[in-house]
Amino acid sequence: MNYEFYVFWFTVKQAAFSTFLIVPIGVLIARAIVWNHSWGPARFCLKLLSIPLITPALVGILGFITLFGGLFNVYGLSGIITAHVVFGSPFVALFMINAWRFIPEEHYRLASQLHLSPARVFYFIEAPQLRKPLLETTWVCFCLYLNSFTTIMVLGGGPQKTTLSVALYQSFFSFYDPEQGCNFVSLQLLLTLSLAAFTFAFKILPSGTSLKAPSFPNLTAPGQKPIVWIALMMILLPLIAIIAPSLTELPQALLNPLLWRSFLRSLILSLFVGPLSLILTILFVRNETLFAKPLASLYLLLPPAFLGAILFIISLQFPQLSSEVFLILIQLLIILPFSFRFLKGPYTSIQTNYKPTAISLGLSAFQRLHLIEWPLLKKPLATVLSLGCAMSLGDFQSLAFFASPEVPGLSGLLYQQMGRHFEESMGTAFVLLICCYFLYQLPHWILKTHDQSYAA
Amino acid sequence: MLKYFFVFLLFSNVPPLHGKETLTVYTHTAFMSSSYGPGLPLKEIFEKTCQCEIKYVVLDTVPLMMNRLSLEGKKTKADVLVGLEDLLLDMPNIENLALGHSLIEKIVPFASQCLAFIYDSQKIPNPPKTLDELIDSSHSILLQDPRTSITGLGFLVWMKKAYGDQVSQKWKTLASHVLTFTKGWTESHALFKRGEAPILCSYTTDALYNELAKGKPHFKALYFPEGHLCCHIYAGKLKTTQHAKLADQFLAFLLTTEAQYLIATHGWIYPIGDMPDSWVKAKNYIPPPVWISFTPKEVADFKKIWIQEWIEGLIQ
Repeated sequence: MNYEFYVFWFTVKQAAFSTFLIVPIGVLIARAIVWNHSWGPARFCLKLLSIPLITPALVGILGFITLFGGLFNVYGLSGIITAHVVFGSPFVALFMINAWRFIPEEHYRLASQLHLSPARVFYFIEAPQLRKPLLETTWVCFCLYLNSFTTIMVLGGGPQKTTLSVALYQSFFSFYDPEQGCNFVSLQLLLTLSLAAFTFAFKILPSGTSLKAPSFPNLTAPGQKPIVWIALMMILLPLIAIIAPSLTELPQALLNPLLWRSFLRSLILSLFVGPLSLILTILFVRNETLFAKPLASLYLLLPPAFLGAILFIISLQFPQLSSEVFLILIQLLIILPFSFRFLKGPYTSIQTNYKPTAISLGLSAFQRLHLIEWPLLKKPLATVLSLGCAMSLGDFQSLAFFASPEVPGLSGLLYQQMGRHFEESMGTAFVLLICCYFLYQLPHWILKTHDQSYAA
Repeated sequence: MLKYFFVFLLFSNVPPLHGKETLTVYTHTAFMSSSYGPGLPLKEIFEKTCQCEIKYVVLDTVPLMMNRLSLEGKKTKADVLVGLEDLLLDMPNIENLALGHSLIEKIVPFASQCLAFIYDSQKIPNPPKTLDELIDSSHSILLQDPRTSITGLGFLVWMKKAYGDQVSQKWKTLASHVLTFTKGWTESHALFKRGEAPILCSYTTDALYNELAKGKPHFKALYFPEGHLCCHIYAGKLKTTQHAKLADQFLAFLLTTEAQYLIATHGWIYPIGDMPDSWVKAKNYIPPPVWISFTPKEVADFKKIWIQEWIEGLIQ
């Protein structure tokens, strides 16, 4: 078989397997949390569900390797899929819980009067209501894992275990084989276009979210409690696996001057990119033309590796522009789709629910902003800002394309160290992790909008 | 302030009147490592024999060194290169060497090294005795990607030379128990140290290094009687050098007994002459193996095809 097509096939295979496992596991977790929502550990778990989203991918994978490295060969298909499951299913659970709360409570009351078993409740009540969000989430997962980069970069072991994104990156940057790189780019384009056609033909673009306060049915299901514990372990164990050994390595790591230079560079960059992404997101959200939404959802279809390659080729045409410009540009492109999703829902529901009333009351634009939009949008705005900062700091992919070897940036440094001095990398991972969490919380502290993890 | 800066510039550019000549040597990190690497002791001794100073310019790897050189072209400040290998003699500069308009005037082999598999004898009491046995075994192995690593390229040539047309099939069998192909030797060595796999593609002398320098005699090298892939390591003198005499002196110095001893004991590569006593007495010492024959030109011409065969074997 032609090598390029083999890589194409491997890409689809790993994405399909990952999605096939992640979605059921995510749904199980979501269900266990919803059914036991007044139970302490379940509430705690719900708060932690968004952690894998902010944890820098490299740090998560480092923890994953430390945990599973001795158990089986993590450098291959099984390792890639397991990593995807560990970091992806909390994300799916978060989306599914948001869908779950739209199921009217009365349905559950009726079910309990009819003495329906939990399995029948799922079949008759939950499944029909969840079908659409489930389909959407499945599709989002599949697209995201088709474009998975960092996981494959670390866990793919050799040319027979690689995806299009990584293969095209490596052809350009490691093997200096632009001819093969162009083949991969064309295949990637083919994949993207078919995904886009499929998405728009079946209208399975993710829908907006609601401002409705989460209402959970009053249920208890002790039988599902072990699933909550498993979910908690899945989220926390990779982090503990890093934090515990990193504390002893930290003093040594802090002595490394390169760490400080990288830290400073990443921090300045993220403080630049965060606010910029907020402004850009607001512009996109307020723009009501038809293009805004598909443009912002491009992330599903267009892998950052592809964008990176294109931007890199463009950057060669403009040698006078600093690579920082392109670094900022690609980070914005990576962050925008996520932040767009966070802001679009709240914004649209304010426009539909309050705007007509406000206008009929004769409120000016400023009064509307002051009385209605700001109080309701404060939290999503803070989330968008903090997400922008944290993602910029933790992103490895953009650095892979546009970082200078002298000052690689925190994630870049971590990647270098992971290959060479595993122990030393633990210290760097810890610094990166703490910075990300701090940057993620900072806007919330300033605006006093503490994140309750229902934001998504 | 600016005035002083100009004065400084003036002095830094003008060679001292009765002063030392400076010899600029391009080399790579392995030669200059602080824990091992013969670069610094060699500099110390050489500088005693002449009114001169050696200035090392250290690049990450040998290919990067060659890239730098071709980028600088005739304007290069380098007088001498250290660390070229047979496998990489296909780089554009050396290719031109044959055509007579190269940047490099001459190359002198000053050492050699052989690829070998290093294994953990505590985990594998009965190691494979030939390359065939290794390929058919089920031990987890760490290899390097031939597209990015010189060690990986070496093993690619080794496999091709050993199996010819059957190489794809052999790669397929081997790949079923390869843990991963890493970007470079360093990465795979880090995984080996952490015990992720018991066998690593490395160099024969790695076992000596582990025994004598690290106190880990249980890491041993597999000795295959049918031969290993070995390379000469060269130092080269550039045509453009302003210090031709000094450069010749340095190349000659590398072949002296004293320098050869340092190269062996610090660089962990085979010297041209006798092995150091400490090596011969070591438990893990194996005499230099049979060399598998290949020519640099072959590697240059067929590298792409061999990589294609490797990939075909892996994806079967």
